[in-house]
Amino acid sequence: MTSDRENALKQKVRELITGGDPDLIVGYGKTYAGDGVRPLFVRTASDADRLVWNDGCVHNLSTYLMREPCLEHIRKGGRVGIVAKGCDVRAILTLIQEKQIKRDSVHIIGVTCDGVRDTDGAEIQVKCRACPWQVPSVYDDLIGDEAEVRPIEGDPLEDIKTIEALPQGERWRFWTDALSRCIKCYACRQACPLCYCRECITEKSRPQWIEKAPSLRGNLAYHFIRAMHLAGRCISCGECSRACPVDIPVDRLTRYLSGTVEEAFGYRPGVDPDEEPFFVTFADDDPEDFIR
Amino acid sequence: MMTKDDLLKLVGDAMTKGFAVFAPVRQEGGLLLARTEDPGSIDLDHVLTVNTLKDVMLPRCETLVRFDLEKPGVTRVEEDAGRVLVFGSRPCDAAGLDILDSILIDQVRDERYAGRRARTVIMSLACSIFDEACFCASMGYGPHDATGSDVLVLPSGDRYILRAITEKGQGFLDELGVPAEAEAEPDKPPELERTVDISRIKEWLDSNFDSPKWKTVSDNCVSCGTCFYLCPTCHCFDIIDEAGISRGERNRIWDCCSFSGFTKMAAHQPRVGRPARYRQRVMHKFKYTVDNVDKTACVGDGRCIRHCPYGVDICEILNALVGEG
Amino acid sequence: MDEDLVPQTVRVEAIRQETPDVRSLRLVFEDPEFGREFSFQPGQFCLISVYGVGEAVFCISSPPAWKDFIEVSVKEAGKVTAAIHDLDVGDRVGFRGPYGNSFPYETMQGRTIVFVGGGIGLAPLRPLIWQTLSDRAKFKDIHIIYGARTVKDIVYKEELAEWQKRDDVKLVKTVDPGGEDETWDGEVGLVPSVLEEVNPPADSLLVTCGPPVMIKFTYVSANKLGFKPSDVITTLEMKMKCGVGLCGRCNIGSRYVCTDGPVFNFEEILSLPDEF
Repeated sequence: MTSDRENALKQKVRELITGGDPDLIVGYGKTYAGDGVRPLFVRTASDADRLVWNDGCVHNLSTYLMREPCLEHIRKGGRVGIVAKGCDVRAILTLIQEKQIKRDSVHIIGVTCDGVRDTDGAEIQVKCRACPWQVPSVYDDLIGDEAEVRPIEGDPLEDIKTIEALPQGERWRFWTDALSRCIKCYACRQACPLCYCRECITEKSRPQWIEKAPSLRGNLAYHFIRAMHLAGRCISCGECSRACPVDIPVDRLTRYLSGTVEEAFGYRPGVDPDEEPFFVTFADDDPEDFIR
Repeated sequence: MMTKDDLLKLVGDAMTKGFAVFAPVRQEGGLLLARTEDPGSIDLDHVLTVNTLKDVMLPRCETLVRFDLEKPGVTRVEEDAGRVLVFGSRPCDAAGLDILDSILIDQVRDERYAGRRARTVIMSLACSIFDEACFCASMGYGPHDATGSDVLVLPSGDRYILRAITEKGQGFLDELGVPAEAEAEPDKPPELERTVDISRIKEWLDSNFDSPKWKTVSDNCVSCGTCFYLCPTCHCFDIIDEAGISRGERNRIWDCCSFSGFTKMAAHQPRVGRPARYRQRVMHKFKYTVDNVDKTACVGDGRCIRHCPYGVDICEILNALVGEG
Repeated sequence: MDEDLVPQTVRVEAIRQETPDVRSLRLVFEDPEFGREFSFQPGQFCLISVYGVGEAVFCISSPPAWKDFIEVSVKEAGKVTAAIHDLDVGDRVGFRGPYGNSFPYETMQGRTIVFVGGGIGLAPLRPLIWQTLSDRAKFKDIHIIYGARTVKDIVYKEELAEWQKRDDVKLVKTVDPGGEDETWDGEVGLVPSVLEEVNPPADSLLVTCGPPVMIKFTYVSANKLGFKPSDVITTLEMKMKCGVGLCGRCNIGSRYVCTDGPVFNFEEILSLPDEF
C-alpha cells in the first residue's frame, strides 16, 4: 500500500513539475546514507523520481513555506508544492488563516497517512495513534484513498495529562530538569511551521525581553513565552520535540496550551482556512468581561 | 591490561584524589558527557555522546564578571581551579580540542579555556564501534587516533590497554599508580563505512565564494543551531550582560553563524540570507581555519549529520560543492 | 596575548553633544597606573560597556598625544549606544582595549595625504589627522574631505573649523543634496563626487572611513583618479564581541576585522569576499 502511494506520489509530482506549476515542490527523499528519510526539494522531473513515501516521513514540510527558498519563491509570485500529511495540512491552513500565505500560493499534495515513526521508533508516534487527520482535510491532489482510515486509539493528550496529574512540586521539577538541558540551539523554533516571526522576541534587544543565556532562567523564559505564542496556534505536529537534540518534550507545553484554548473556546487551529484565528477574534458571548 | 572494572575503579580512585570527573552518562536528555560521582554510572558502550568535550572546556554559559550597579567596577569570577578528568570521551572529540587549542590558545590565549585545558586530563576511549555518520578517518584521524588525548584507552579483546600520550597523561597514570607494562596488541580499529574525499575542497572554496551552488546546497537547512552546538570545533560565542535592578553578571554564551543576529549590527547586516550563512559555516571549517591555523575545523564525528532534524549532510554537501554540475 | 575579557573601569569626565545622535565621551581610567601605562596607535579600537546592558566596539577617537584621557564618539543606533547616550558625567563604564591594528603611520610619511570622512566615520580618522598635523613637516599636502548627511550631522565642528583655518590643510566639507541649510558655506554633493572634484594627485595616500556604501564608492572614485588599491586605506566595522579574534563573528573571508584589521588597504579588501 505504501509503495502504491509512493508510486502515485512520484507520478503526480513529476506531472506537476513537468507542467511547471508549481515549479518548486517539497517532498520526502532518502537520506544521503540511504537508510532514512529527509526533506527533498523537487525542481526537475528527475528529482521527482527520488521521492519516497513511507512511515519515516515524519517531518512537517510546511515549515519550509515560511523560509528560504520557498518564501522567496512565493513572494515573487510563484507557487510552492508541499507533500503533506493531514497533520501537516493543519499547519498550512493555519498559515493561511493567519494571512501569511494565500491559499493559491501553495499546492497541497495531501497523502493519506497510516502514521509515522521516529528513526529509532518501533511504534508509530502517539499523536498518530489518536490522529483524526489520517486523510488531509484540504488538498489539491490526494495520494491514497479516502477510505483507508484506521480506528482512532488512545488519547492524544495522554503524555500531557501524566504530567498534569503530578503534584505541583514534581511538575515544576519535571520542567526545570528538562529545560535546564536546553542549549538554546532554537531547533524547536526553527522546526516549527508556525514560528515564522521575522524577528523572534528572543532576538529583540530594545528592550531585551528574554535572557539570552542558556541558563535555567533564560531557558524557562524562552520556552514559556514560546508556548504562550503558540497557544491556540499549535497544531500538535510534534516537530519541536523531534528536532530537540537533548530530548526536551517541548511540544507538551505548546500542545497543552492549544488544548486549553480548545477546551475554553472550542477553537482548533488549522481546520477551516476561512475561519478567523483565535487571537484576532472575540465573541459577544465571551464568558470573560475584560474583552467587551 | 585492565578489565572494565579495573578501569572504572581507576576513575573512582581519580575521584578520591580530587579529580572532578566528566564521563558518558545516560540521562534524560540522552547519552551526555556529564559530571558524575559514580563510576558505575559510566557508559562505555556508546558510539558518541550527544554533547562534546567543548561542553567541558568552553561551557555553553560561563560568567566572566559580576557587577553591582550601585558600585564602580566589576568582580572577576574565578572558577574552581580543581583538576578535571574526562574519561571515556571519544578520539574525535579529543581531536576537536586539538583544533580549539590552535584557535583559542596558540593565536590569542583565552585564559579561561587555556586554564581549563591545563588542569584537565583527557582519557579517551578508542572506538570499536561506529555508526553510519562517523567519518573521522576521512578527516585524517581515526577510531584509535590519539590527537588531543592525554591517555588513550585501547580495547584489546575484553580488556583495555592504557597508553599515555602526553606527559600530563603519563603523570596522571603515575599518580594513580598504574604500572608501566609491556604493551599488548590492541584490537584492530574498525573500518568506517562512510568516507568523504576532502582533498579538493580547500582549493574549490578558495575560488568559489560566489558559486551558484551555495543557493541550493543547503535547501534542507532551517537555520537552527543544532549542528553548531553539537560540533566539537564550533566555538563562536557571544558576550551578554544580564542584570536585575541592582546586580548583574556578564556571561559568555555559545552563539552560531546560522542565526541572522550573529552579524547584524544596528545599521548594517553584512551577511544576508540562509545560503550565505551556511556558506560561512562551510568556509569557516574547511577554508578559513585552514588559512589561519593550518587545520581543518572538522573531525568527522558526524554529530551534525546524526542530529540534524532535516537531514543536512556535510559529506554530501562537500561532494556536491566539488562535484560536476 | 592573554585575554580574560574582563574590563577596566573608566569614568566619564566630560560629554560633548556633537550632533542630535552623536556624543563624544572623555574617559579617564579609574586605575591611575593603568592610565599612565596605557598607550595606543591611531586606528585602534576599544570596547566600552555599560554594565547590565552590554559591550560595544568604538574606535578611539582622540590622538595618543592627548594624555590622561581618551575619547570615543558614539552614534546612537542600538541597545548599548543608547545606554551610553544615557550616561552622565561621573558615571563609570567598562573599557577593554586597545585592540586591532593601526594606520601605517611610518609608511605614510613623505606623501600627500587625503583624508576622506563621512558622518561619524571621521572619528577613527581624527586621531590620525591630529597626529599628522603634529608632525606636519613630515608630509606633503594634507587634504581633508568631510561629508555628512545634513548640516546637523556634522561632527567635531570646532576642529573642522580649526583645520579649515590652517594654511597647511586643504579642507573641503560637504553635505548630501538636501542636507544644506541657509548658513551652509560648504559643498553640496556626495563625498565620492566631491573627491573627484578635488582631484588629488594619484600618488597620494587616501585614508577613508564612513558608512560602508560610502567607503565602497570612495574607492571607485579613487580608482577613477588613478589611485593604486594599496594607496587607499580604510577602517572597517563589523559586529564584534570579544575584540581579540576568539568569538568568530567579524571575519571577512579568512581575515578577522578585530585582529587583522580594522585598518585595511584596498589591495587587501579586493582580495576578500564582498561580505562586509
